[in-house]
Amino acid sequence: MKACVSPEPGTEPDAGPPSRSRRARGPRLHPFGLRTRLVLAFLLVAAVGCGTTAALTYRAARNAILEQTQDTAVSAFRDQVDPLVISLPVDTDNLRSVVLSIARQGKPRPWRVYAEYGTVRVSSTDRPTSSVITPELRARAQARQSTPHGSFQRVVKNGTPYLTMAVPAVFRTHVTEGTAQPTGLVFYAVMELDDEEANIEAMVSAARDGALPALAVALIPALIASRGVLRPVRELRHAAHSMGRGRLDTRIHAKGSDELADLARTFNESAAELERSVAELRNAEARARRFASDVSHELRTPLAGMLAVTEVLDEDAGSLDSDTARAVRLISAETGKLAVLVEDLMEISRFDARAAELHTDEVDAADCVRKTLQHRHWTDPEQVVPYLEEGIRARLDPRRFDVVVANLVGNALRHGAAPVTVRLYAEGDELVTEVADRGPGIHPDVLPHVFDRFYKADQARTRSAGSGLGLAITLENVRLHGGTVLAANHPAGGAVFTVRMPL
Amino acid sequence: MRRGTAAVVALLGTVLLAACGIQKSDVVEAGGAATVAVVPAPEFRMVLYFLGPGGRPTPVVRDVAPPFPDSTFAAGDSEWAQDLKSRGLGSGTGHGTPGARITTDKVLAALIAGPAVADTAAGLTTDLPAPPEAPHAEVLKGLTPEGRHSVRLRLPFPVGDLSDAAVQQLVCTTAYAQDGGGRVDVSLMGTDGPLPATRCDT
Repeated sequence: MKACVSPEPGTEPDAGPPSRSRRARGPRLHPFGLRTRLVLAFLLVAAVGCGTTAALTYRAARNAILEQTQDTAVSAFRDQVDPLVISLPVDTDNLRSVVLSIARQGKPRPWRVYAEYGTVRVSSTDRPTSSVITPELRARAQARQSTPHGSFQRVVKNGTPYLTMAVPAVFRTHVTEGTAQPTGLVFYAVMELDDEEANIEAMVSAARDGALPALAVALIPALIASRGVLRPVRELRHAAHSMGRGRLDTRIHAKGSDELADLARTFNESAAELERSVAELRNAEARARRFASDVSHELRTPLAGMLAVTEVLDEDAGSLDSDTARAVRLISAETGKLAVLVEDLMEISRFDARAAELHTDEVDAADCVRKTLQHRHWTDPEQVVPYLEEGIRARLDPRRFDVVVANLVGNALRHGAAPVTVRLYAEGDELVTEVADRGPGIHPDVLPHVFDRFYKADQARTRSAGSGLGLAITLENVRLHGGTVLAANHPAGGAVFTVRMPL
Repeated sequence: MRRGTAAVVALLGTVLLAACGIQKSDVVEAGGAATVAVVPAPEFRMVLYFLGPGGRPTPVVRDVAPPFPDSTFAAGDSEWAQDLKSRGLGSGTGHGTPGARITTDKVLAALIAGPAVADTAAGLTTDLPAPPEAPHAEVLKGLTPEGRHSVRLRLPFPVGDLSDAAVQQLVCTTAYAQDGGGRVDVSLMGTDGPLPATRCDT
């Protein structure tokens, strides 16, 4: 008999399974939770930092490498051309030997040398000109400008980078006052930049090899930071959950001076305030209940005296004159009702004070019901029709079960209409008691409130035969047994009250 | 914020992609030209301007009355000497003393005579007509406001329909024959009238 215990204070018995299942779920995984976002943000910052640094360093280093090579090559090339002595128009054979000699002096690396004058094309290779030399470079080298310049251009052909240089040869028109006049002879040199490209590739791989470990290292502070944020958040969640379950003394360990610590302190303050308010409310409620209980106690003693007197008066009423006799009987009846009301009030105060105790005993349920009906003299089959399944052994408090059945049947007779059907049967491991009447049923608006105290279905009817506490006491008794009571309307008419109690 | 992040990533990607490897470049000027020595020395030569491929005025240097026939520079000399002799400009004709400047008229006569065999072999041409008489240069008195001499060239042919390249041939040859620095304004006077004063365009 698992349910013969009083319900846990402050918990709804029905709310058990779902909330437990929610609680049982562990820390939930958030695909875009704080941790993920923090880690991503850290990685992004690290990537941007590494990438920018690497890119800028790389650019600067690459430009330095290229500039050094270019400057060295161009000035070396010019130095090779400078000391030449030529005739105009140039002599092809002579020029070829000059070009070959320059080609041997390549600096910083070997180069191929080409010379162009008019339609003369001389080169240090087996081909008279190079396809790498662009028309732009040629045009720049041959341009007639006031001060001719050497120039270079990087060209990428078939994936190989080349440095092409052009140095126009000028001559002085006069020993002292002459200006530099282009001879029309232009020297070109073509140098492969393979080594430079290899150096630059090495820098790229170095940058990449440096950036990847940096990203991996950035993961560690990311995880630490996310843990620092997530732990207080998780504590807060647990605390809020615990508060929601009624443990108002839940507090969070607030340390540090950051925003999360502030939040924790605010939570603690709010929890303390809430706890105080709830305690005040509970005290007030307890005072009110004690007052009701005290009042009913104080009323019981004089009422007992009054009941004894009214019984004597009732007996003597026959000998009084009719008006006095009616008054005496009225007083007697009302005193009786008052006594019932006071008893009911005391009973309900005991429930409220959680002083009600269950004295269970293994009994025959059908016997119990039958006794109840006999004691109340509800034996007329036109009034109450029992359909009782025999031989159900149930563990219950016979006095409280009697009150439940008596209240339901009495209520049905008072508000419904005869015949009242009382069914008793076992369903699974539950004992079901069903009381149905043939009355008009209960209005749907009233249905949710039928178990409320002093609830009047008809507001105009201020007085009723009952105390107004009967169904409330029924509900409390059934709850005490760990069962449920349900009010409904039968499709064929009439109200049906169903009590389910664990066997 | 999300758009900003995307922009940063895109920028970074662009920088990284655009920066990889060795990129081709534009033509970059680097330092001056190489100054070579041209034989014979300025005192013993004249400079004629013919046209290279594409109509660029290209200088050609000719020996004038070399005092030492064994020039340091090899092949072309004897050929030039023969050419010059055949045109009446050879060394033996006694025009001017060795080392003295040859007169501008003689240089112009050589220009009008057109490119020699060696010049033609190097792809040089002329755009000037070949008249029977030589042109005559007169130095005008006084200097231009910029301190340049002025020379008027009297030509035995019309100048109105001369090409720009031909005018440059005449102007440059005259300028450098007249003045070592070429700082001379040259005006052409043809049979059909004058052309405005011009300079050698370098």
